[in-house]
Amino acid sequence: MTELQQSQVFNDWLKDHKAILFKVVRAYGFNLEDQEDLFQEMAVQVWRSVPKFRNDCAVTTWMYRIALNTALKWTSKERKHQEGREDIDQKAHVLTEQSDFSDPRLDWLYEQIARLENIDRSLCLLLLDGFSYKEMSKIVGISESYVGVRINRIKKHLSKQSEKVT
Amino acid sequence: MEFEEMKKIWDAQNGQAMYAIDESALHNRVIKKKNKARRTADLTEKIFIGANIIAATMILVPSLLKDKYSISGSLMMVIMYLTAGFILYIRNKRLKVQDNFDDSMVGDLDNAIATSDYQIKFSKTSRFYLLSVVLLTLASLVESGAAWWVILLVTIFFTVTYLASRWEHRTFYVSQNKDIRAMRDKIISMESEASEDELDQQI
Repeated sequence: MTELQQSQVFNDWLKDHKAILFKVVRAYGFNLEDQEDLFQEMAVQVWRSVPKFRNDCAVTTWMYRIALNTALKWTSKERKHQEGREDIDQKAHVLTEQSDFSDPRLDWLYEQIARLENIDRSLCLLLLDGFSYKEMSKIVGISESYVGVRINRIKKHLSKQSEKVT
Repeated sequence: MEFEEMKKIWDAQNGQAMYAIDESALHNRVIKKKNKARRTADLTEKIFIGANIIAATMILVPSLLKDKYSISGSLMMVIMYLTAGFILYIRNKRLKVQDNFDDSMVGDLDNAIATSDYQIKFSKTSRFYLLSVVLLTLASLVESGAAWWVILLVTIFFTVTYLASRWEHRTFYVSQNKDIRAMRDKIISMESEASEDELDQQI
């Protein structure tokens, strides 16, 4: 695959599936600078992954796997305190928040997701986006039965939290 | 609020864009980051291999021409050729296995662990290599009858270099490796914990 072909596929994926990256970015990064740093890292990983994509799963599944894995590693490395921070400050911004996009209930939901443990956060995003237990198990690399157990806990936890608000 | 209702709120965001992307800035960043990572790994290995081969040959050729051999020089030459060969071997091994991982987050973590293991091995090799170079340099200085203060200065220089490389090894490579392994262990342990819970519920 030539670099031009790789860039074309990358641009198409980004155009069609950027919402996936945005959701993961918002669930894992807590301010715009962190979100931008994470978004850039995800974009690099997605770009790198293009030649490895073998069409044995949907692009959405592939993108989610890369986005979640990058977010997980990014959180553990706390890159915001290392080289990433310096890079961002010096370069032009890649992401701009859309001010007309706001729903307090959605903000609350993101806040709750952000409070979950790393793996649960990933599972919760996949659950909300309608992935099956089988797909989630493939993306995260854990058994389906374990996915089921965690999902039950997440659902119970979210319902409990919403009861506290209402 | 029921989960179904949360799902509806969630789905409503799909029609709208949370952020606007500056595509050309992003493209530049992606290309720059990609090239940087690839270049760094490749360049370090190539420099290490090339420098060792050149340095060893620079010891070998004059020795052959003059037909004059010293024990420390010959040993250093052998170590340099062996080190170059070893780095070439682990580099090929790294390139062969880098894409053979499961397509899952655990698989990605396994890949990251393998890369980190490789960095640790590379950094360890460099430290042992440095140690052997120190000993052989000191031996050749003693052999050539150098002044005591020259030997002392060389010793101090190498000690500082060795300590700095040990600090780098522990601070960056080992701690990063521990973090990734801890993350993988956490996923696996949570899974077994969940299986136990399931079993408890069945009982």
